[in-house]
Order: sequence, then structure tokens, then C-alpha cells
Amino acid sequence: MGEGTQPNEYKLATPPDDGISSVKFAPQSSQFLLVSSWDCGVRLYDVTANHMRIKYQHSRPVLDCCFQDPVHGFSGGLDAVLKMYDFNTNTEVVLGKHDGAIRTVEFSSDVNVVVTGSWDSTVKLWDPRSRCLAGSFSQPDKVYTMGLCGDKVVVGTAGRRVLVWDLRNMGYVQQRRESSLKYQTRCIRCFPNKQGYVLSSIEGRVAVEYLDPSPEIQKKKYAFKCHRIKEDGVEKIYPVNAISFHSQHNTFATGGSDGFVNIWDGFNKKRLCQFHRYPTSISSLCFSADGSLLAIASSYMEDKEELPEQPDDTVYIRRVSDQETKPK
Amino acid sequence: MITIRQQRQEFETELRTYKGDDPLDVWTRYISWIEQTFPKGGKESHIDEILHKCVTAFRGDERYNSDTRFLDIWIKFASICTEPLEIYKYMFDNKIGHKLASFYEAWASELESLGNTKKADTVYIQGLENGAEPQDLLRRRQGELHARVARRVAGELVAPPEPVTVFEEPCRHALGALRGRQSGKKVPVERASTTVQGSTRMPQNSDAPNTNRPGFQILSDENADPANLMQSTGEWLNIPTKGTHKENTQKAGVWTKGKMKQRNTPVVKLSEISSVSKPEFSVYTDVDDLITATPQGKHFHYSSILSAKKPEKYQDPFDRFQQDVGSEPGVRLMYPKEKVYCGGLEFQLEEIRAFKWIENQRQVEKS
Repeated sequence: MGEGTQPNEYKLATPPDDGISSVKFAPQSSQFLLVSSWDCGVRLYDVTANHMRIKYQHSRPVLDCCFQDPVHGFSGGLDAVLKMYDFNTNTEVVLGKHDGAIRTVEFSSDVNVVVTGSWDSTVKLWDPRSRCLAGSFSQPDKVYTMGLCGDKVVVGTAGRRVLVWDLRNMGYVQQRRESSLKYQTRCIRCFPNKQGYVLSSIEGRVAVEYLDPSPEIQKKKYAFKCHRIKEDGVEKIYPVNAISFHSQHNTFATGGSDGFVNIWDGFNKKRLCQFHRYPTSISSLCFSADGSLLAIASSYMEDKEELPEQPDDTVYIRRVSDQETKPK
Repeated sequence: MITIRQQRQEFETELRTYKGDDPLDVWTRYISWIEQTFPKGGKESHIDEILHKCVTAFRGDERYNSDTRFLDIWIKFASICTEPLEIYKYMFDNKIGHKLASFYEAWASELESLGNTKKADTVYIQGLENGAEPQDLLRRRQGELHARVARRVAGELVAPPEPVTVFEEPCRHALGALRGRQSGKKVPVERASTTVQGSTRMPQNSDAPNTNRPGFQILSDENADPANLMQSTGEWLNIPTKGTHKENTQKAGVWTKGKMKQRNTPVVKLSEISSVSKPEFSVYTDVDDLITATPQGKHFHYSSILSAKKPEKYQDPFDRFQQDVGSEPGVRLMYPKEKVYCGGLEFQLEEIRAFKWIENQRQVEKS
């Protein structure tokens, strides 16, 4: 393995040629990983064999992707087109278009629907069987991130707004909220136990929020500082770009532009561990379905002063132990 | 059809991607677009925010100090502030619009509208001294001011002479810059070429007695040296804004939740009350008891109850803004905040990267 790698992790061979926007593991399997990139490509990797299986293209950079099942994937990006790809037959279908770039793509297995959020300030639902648009729902501002929570979707938009929709009844917004963090929302992911969500901001902070609006539950919400580095008396504050939940333990990993990955126990307000520093910003994170692997995208996000030579865009596959991910 | 949202998005994009040597140009066009699209202003227009960000962004830029566009933006900014005079003072101290007659004109009309004609005159004199151009405009405005003052002094007993501004009847200023000069007015559409000051220009009825004249002399401080008013004090190094003079900075909240901040009034325990309040009669105390009683210390004085409330600490809005852009000492933000929070909308890092990508793509296709 290359320099800087440790025995419990390795780099994926044939990584994307430009920034990595998203990494997603397949449901019910830790063998396949889908990776979208600013080089306009979407790649399917066999993580076990460390081998790239399939690559397909969009006409512009791809901002997000997801699996429906091990053979079907969805992707969208700056070209505003939602593509569905069949990895067995190597064929692609265009499901439809947004009016602006598609920023986030998720598949809800509970409702069997693909959800896309876009900079055109809408969320659209797509039926993967009939391969057509199932509905378009306007949001108060550009959609920046989305977290699925059973049959609910938590949408984070510009202007620090957070909206909770019920995918089974999109007639009205279930909850309208404001981020409890002062600065721009970077990422929202929901607890696998469906109690709440975690929201990260562009200025080194993470908030743990609960969906139940009753006051005694809302009292439990909190926020904390992280992904900050103190150097020579100056505190450097980094964006927190990525969150991923461990499906069994309800713990979560956060990745920041500082190149660090931390694992947190949100219910007990504890940090479980911090990995070594990765060469550049962590742009995306994903735990495998069984929680044994963590895919870590270390990729320059053009968010810092430009250096003459940026580290390569790399996906690390890290084997994580219970010790690192289980609440103590 | 291009929606307002898309148009705004385009301006905001341009603010972040402009590479030429006149960045103020984008701001000027953006601001006039806002004024035309949102003639009533309001929160939706983001005009306050954008004016503030614009004047802050270029306030140190000397090449714009004599730029009429920049001056216009400053005057608009002054008009949305609760204390426009402070803005003018700030501009004067920082030599913004130093050589432009319209700066002195706007400042003087503001002063005059507040009744301070003496200082308004000083402002004109200062403008002439500083060689502000065009000079005739300043002289004419000063003349008009004198005429209005004279008319007021004369009590308007005699029908006023033909006003000097006769050729400037309120009329729509075709193709003129949109500018709201009067304070407190959000509407930036200026219908008259100049706001006629002083006289209300009521149709004068020759036989009706003039009721406007006050029956008493208004005191004016003769001893104040008008020259003093005009010196660069160097006080206004930061931009005062709306928030500066707010008395209640605290947000309204649920009453039951609000916690009153306790002032430093000493709390007296029930058991110690006897040591504090001295009854006029002497209470019989056991000699042994006196020894164990708490000594009456200095800390039990109540003089603070009727003392004047301390003025609220001056919080400089500009400082607050600086913190926002990350120049707070001891803290460094590791992302391009000036691009994320530029103008009135926020952009994601990916959006900024997308502009760059599209621009690069264009370059590649061209070559």
C-alpha cells in the first residue's frame, strides 16, 4: 500500500480524476461503493477486490449519487439530470430534469421513492419502477443537503432553514425549523433509530436535534464545536462537510476540511475516537450497511487557498472496530 | 421567462466571480436592479444588507472616494440609517466624496431638514473650501439655503419673492439616478430633481394671515464657533448603522422564560435583616448576642438603587461585521467566507466551485 496508509485501511485503486463529491455504500452489502465526482463520472467499485467495475458519465460534474439496490444506482449534478443506471445491463435511463443543479440524491427504501434536492429550490420525488416524476415540492431556498429518516426527509436549505417532510404525505411541510447553528448548513443525516438528526455547519460546529416537537424531548438537543485546530494561539475553524451514521450503534462519523474524521456518540455526548489526519479535506463519508467499513473521501474542495500541488483525490476504505464505533 | 430569483442569482454570481478592475460596477448595477425590482424596499429586497456590505467592502478603496457611484451608494446607505448625520460625519472624516459637490449637498439638506441651517451653511462653505466640483452647484444650493433662511427670518410676512428654485419645480427626473436623499424614506425613487427644502409651498392666499410664524424667537447658540463643527475629528473610523442607537438590543422572547439580569444589589439573608435595617428606636440586645452578630460591613449600602443607569456599552456594528468575515483575533476561518456570504444571498462552496468549473469549460471550448 502507499505511504501514510495503515494496516486497517487502504486506498481505492483508479480513483476519480477530480474532486470526490459523494461516496455511498450499497444497501445490505459492504462489497460495492458508488462514487460521484467533479470529473463528471460515476464509478462503481468492488471494495473487496479493490477494483473499479463500471464508470459512466454525466455531461457536467456529479454532486451526489445513491443505490436503490446492488444493481441500480442514481446520480445527479450540475447538468440537472437525474440518471438511473443498471449495473448488470450497463444501461442508463434519464428519469428527468430539475431547473438547477441537483445537489443531493437519496433513495428511500421505506417508501420506494428516489428523492432529489436541487439549487432550483425544489425537492422532487421519482418513482423508480415507472421511471417518472412523482411530484415536485418547492422549498424556501436552494437545497443544500437532505437526510432520510424512515418515511421522513429532513431538508437543509440555504438561509439555515430546515424542513421536515413526510414522504407519504407531501401535501404540507410537517415541521419548519431553523438551524440552531449560526452559519451555513453543510450536511444533515438522520439517526438510524429515527429519533432525530445531526446537522453540521460551515464553521466547525455540529448540532444534535430531535424530531419529536414536545418540549421535554426538545430540551435534549445540543450543539458542540469540532474540527478546529489550535496552532500558535490561533484557532483555525474548518467546515464540517460530511456525516455518516453507524446503522447499529447510532453513533456517527464527521469529516471536516481539516482532514480529520471523528466518531461521536450523540446520545452520551462523547467523542469515541479520532483517526489520523488525512491529506486534505474530507468531502464525504459512508459507513457500510453492516457498519464494518467506513469509506472516507479525502479530496480538495477548492475551499482553501490554492496550493501549487493539491493531494490526490482519494477514497480510503477503513475497517472500523466496535471499540471505535460502539458507545462505551 | 427569467424570474426575479434567477436575476438575483445572476447578480450574486457576478459579485463572486467578477475579475475585472471595477468591482463597484457590479454592485452599482445590482443595487439599481433591486431598487427597480423592489421599489418599496423591505426585507425581501435585502437592500439594507447589500448597501452595508457594499460600503464596507470598498470603504478603504481610495480610487472610489471621488466616484459618484460610490457616493450615491453611501447616500442611500445614510438614508436607511437612523442617524444619517453620523454617516455623513464618517464620510467626511474618511474623505469619501470629499471632492464631490453632491456629498455636501446631501449632507446639508439632511442638516437643514433637521433645522440646523447654520451647520448646513458651514457644510457648503467647507465644500467650497475643499474645492468640490461642480462649484456652481454648491454656490447655487448655498444661495437657495440663504434665501430660505432669509424668508423664514422675515417671517414670510411679505409674500415670498420668486423662489430661486423656480426652474426646478418638482418633476420626474427622466433618466436620472435613483436616489433617496431624505432620511427615513426607504423609497429610493426620486421623482423630483431636487427636494425643495424649507418652504412648504402652500398656495399663498394674499389676504390670509400667515400662521406659520412662531410667536417667539428660536434660540440659536451665537457663541458656538461654526468652524469647530467642521473639523475632522477622526472619531468615526467605523461605520455607524441602524443598530447603533437601538435601545433595546435584546430580542423579544417568551416572558416567562426571560431572566432579568440581577444588578449588584446585595442580597440580605432573613437572619441578617436585623443587622441591616436600623430601627429608629434602640432594640434591646443581649450583650452576649452582640458579639456573635455579623459585623455591619461596607457591602450593605443601597446608594446604587437611585444611581443613574450606566449607559449601554457602545457596540460597534462594523466590528461585528469584521468578526463575521473572520478577522477576529485568534480565529482563522478555513473557507472563503467573503464568497459564501457576499451580497444578500448565501452560496455553497460547491456553487462557487461550479462557477469556476463552467468558466474553465468555456475557456476550453473557446480555444
